[in-house]
Amino acid sequence: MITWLNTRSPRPWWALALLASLIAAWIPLAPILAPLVRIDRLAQMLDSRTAMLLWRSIWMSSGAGLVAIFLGWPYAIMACRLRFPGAGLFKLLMPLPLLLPPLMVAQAWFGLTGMTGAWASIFTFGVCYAPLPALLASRSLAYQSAAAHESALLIGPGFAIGEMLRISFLPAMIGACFAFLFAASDFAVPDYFATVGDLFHVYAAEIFGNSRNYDYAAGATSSLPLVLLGFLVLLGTANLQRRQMNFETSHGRSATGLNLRTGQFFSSGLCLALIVVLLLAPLGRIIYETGMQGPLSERSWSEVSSAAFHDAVTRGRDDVLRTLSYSGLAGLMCLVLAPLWAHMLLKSRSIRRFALMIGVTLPLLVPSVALGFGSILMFNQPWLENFYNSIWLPALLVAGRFLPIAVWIMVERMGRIPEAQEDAAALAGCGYLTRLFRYRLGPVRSAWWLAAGLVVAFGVRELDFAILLPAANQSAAVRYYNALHFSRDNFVAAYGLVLAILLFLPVMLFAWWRNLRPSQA
Amino acid sequence: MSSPLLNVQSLQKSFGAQKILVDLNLQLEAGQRISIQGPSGCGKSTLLRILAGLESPDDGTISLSGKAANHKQYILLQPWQRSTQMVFQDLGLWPTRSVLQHVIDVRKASNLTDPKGEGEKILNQLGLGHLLKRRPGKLSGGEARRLAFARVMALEPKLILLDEAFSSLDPDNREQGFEMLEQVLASTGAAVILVTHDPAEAERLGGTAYRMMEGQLSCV
Amino acid sequence: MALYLGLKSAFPKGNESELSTPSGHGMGLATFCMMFRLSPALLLPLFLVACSGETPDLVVYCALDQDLSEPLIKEFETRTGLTVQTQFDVERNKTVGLVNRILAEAKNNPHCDVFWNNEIAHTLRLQQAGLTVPYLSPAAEGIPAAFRDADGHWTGFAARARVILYRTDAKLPVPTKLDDFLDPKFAQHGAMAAPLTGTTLTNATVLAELRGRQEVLDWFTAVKAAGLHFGSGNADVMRRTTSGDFHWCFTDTDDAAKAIDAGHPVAVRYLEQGAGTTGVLLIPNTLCLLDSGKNQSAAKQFADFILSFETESRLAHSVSRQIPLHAGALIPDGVGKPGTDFQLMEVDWTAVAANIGDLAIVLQEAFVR
Repeated sequence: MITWLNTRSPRPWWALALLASLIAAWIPLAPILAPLVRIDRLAQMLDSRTAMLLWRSIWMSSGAGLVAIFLGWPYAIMACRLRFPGAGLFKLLMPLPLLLPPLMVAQAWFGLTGMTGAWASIFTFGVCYAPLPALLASRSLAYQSAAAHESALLIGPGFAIGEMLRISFLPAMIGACFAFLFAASDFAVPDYFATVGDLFHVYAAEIFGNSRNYDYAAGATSSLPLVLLGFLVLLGTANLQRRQMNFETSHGRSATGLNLRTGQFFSSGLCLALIVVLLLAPLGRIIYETGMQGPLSERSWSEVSSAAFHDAVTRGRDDVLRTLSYSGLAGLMCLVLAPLWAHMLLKSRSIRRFALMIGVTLPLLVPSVALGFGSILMFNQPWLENFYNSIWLPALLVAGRFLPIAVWIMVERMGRIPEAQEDAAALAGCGYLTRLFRYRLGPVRSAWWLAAGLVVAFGVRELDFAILLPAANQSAAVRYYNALHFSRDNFVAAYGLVLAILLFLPVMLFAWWRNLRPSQA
Repeated sequence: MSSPLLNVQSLQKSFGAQKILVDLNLQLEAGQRISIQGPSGCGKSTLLRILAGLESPDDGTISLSGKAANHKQYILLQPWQRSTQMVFQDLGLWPTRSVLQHVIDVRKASNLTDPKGEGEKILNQLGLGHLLKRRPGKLSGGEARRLAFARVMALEPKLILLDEAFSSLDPDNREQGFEMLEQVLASTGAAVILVTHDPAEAERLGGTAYRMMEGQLSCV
Repeated sequence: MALYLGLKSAFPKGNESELSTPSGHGMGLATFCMMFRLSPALLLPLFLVACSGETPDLVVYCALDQDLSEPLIKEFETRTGLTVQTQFDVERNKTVGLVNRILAEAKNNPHCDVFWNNEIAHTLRLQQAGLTVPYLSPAAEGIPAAFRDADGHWTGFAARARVILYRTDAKLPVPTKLDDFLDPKFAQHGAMAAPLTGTTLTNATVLAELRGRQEVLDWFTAVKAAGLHFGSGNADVMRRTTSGDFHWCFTDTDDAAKAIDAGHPVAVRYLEQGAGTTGVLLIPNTLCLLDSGKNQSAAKQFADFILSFETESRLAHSVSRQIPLHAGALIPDGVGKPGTDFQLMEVDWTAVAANIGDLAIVLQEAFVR
């Protein structure tokens, strides 16, 4: 069976990837493509008010990117390349803030500081997405040549740190660009801070309002500025990535950690302060909120907290399992599709690459609710009724929407493997799957799992299109958001923690496993 | 009587059960040249890294110009305090910095005078004057090697450590490399330790030739 | 062109990257092959099983909070032995998500048998689109005619009132009528949700029917100028009142009940009481049967159960203290009895449903800034 699957030509496999994207993303996108480019209608919608909303979204998202880089970049350098007590643990904790739902972090920081308004949103996004610059910077630091680091060290520790900063600057910027993208399309966090403080809005609220007041098509039309902005940022990001690849020249021996002697306690303290801001403070506050009550309440904190956790586990269990099922299936699909897509992009040139890039990225940039309505219009047919009602539909849509994230990671990783390795295998008569999975993907398989894991994590957080699909309607995200709206604060906190732990656990295990295998690319 | 530039006494280093350096002794005067030959994995590079302060020994002492640099496993002088520079086999150039920035950066970091003027002079001397704005990724192999030596020259060290610095070169390029080294040594007056597995390189360098066997040095 | 040029340099050629030596990486292919070996054995049956799920006896789309409605639906299943597939909405969509979904699904393959809305205006939108089917439930006979469609296209039950929630621990004035909001002495210590969604939007539309659209828009401008704080939602202004940011807020009775239950020093006041006033706006849940429903008989059974005296009483005793409309319903302490404890506002719901969409757009332009 493997023999006939392992064809020499990549074309059947690329066709499979395109077919999967056709079903998972492009068919549901079809009904919104025409309204998306209704320039005449967009011109009617764009006025000074909406322009101001768009401007606010841009500067807030830029601010979020800056905060993310400010928090994540130094953290990555300290945790990955300085030697001090606890550095390993700090490195292990680095990706976790990314798994906390931004709304939960917003709620926690409001509870801790009372902050509200646009600046609170910027801070919250910065905290939530700081792991993006941190993770990308840490990867580039892992690729720094040991000789380059030691040459710098012979001049001075400050110079060695400067060289680390220089080598990891572009990846940190790329992370900040992704933070910008995620922040620009998020409606829930600014809405929350407008809720608890003075009313303000961002452009995503206009898209949401239009989707609701008119129909999904109006929402799609008004999303065009954000979609274009997203493409521009992604193109900029891809160029930064290409420039960065010229800077990473490790030949096997990786640079070792830098011992700052007396400075190690300062590093340890600073890292601790950062992880408190990024993770421990929000988690601590949420734990406290599981048992929080009004002043006239007669129940103790522990009674209320236990009841909240009991509720979270009993009432939310089925929703969590359902969510993990379709998100897990989506992750499995991306495990297969992302390397195929990434390889296809790496092997394509000029116009074809451009078209593929747009095709794979568009589902992530359009409003989620429009994708959901598109899938209703296309898949809700009498002859597809069982499929429409099954978990395969949300699994496919989660895979289609978040595949771009997995593909970006794989393109970035697989692009580092010299083509000569794959060419040599081709000359030896290896089939396509062997070439792809053993010689192109093998050395970067940790990134492969990470890519699929991120799809699962984003799938668990998805709300807007999940609510529209029969099998995903009762999801963990729906229960969480509804509880938040209905002020069931104890339940929200407990349920959020249960979800966070479920997402943390595999990531911690994965990171721990990777730390045991430092030689991997 | 003045102290030797480098004095190594009873140096020991092991990796697990494998003994790499066993009671190793070495002395080097200012401006002296020595070469150390030996098969791959015998500990030549480890010795250089310990001398540079990039790795700590298990035991023994190292002093530089009479100043204790190591005592047992403790590093007393940090790498940047040893007035020592090293040329690595893969050069260790900084990918984000231009050719000119390489020399300016190191002169600034070491508080040396006129970083830009002196830097340009050194680069012109080594034939890199027309590539000032280029990054290492865009240099040919020979140009990159000249830049590595220019960086060493810019720092005016007292001791230069060459870790298989010419090993991957063809004979013509190797000869050019040695000519460049002569320029650097003439300009800095530094002592040099060359680690190599090729007896021809040791012969070309001149000075004292050692062979490393079972963790110890013996004169060839 | 710029996009194209940007992309052209976006991805590197493989030979530009530096060497990274693979070591022991057969697992990539092995895992992939294992997945393919397993795929016929595991994925296909899984796909078939997932795609051939049992058809439910009834499909209910429910906009009421899942925590309140789910136990009642389970109770219905237990009593009748019917299986119900329930689809909920996320509260921030304020029922419009489900209504838009019903409209979208109706184009090719309708699924919904019964729509349980937690308000009224959007149910009438479905009626106006010709998607509802009349049913006069015998269980709804005790519900006043003002809360039922004469032909039975929809029936109202278990309502929420728009009220003032105020702190009892401060000696500040509390409004007694809507126009008190115009007075800075009240406005500067109060809050209400921006009239963009939910019951606040319905309330604004009702006011527009009573006073005229322009006058209501002017009224909102004036109360804003007087210092009234506009928040994002009813629950949110309630939360900020309990935390002491405001002395009072204009919200719904279900949010007010939560604040009282959580032990905060707050109480409820009904607006517009007394001669010559409009009375309190009461917004009921509504139930309608869909014309395209495939399970009409089960849908009628469900309507009888939900519109019953018993269900209303249970919702009245729930955490959200829904106000029962059945004459003689059991009303718990702390829940006002319509017509007795407070005077009711008369509303032309058909006109409200017809105008709510347009007004929402105007208000979005006024408030989303």
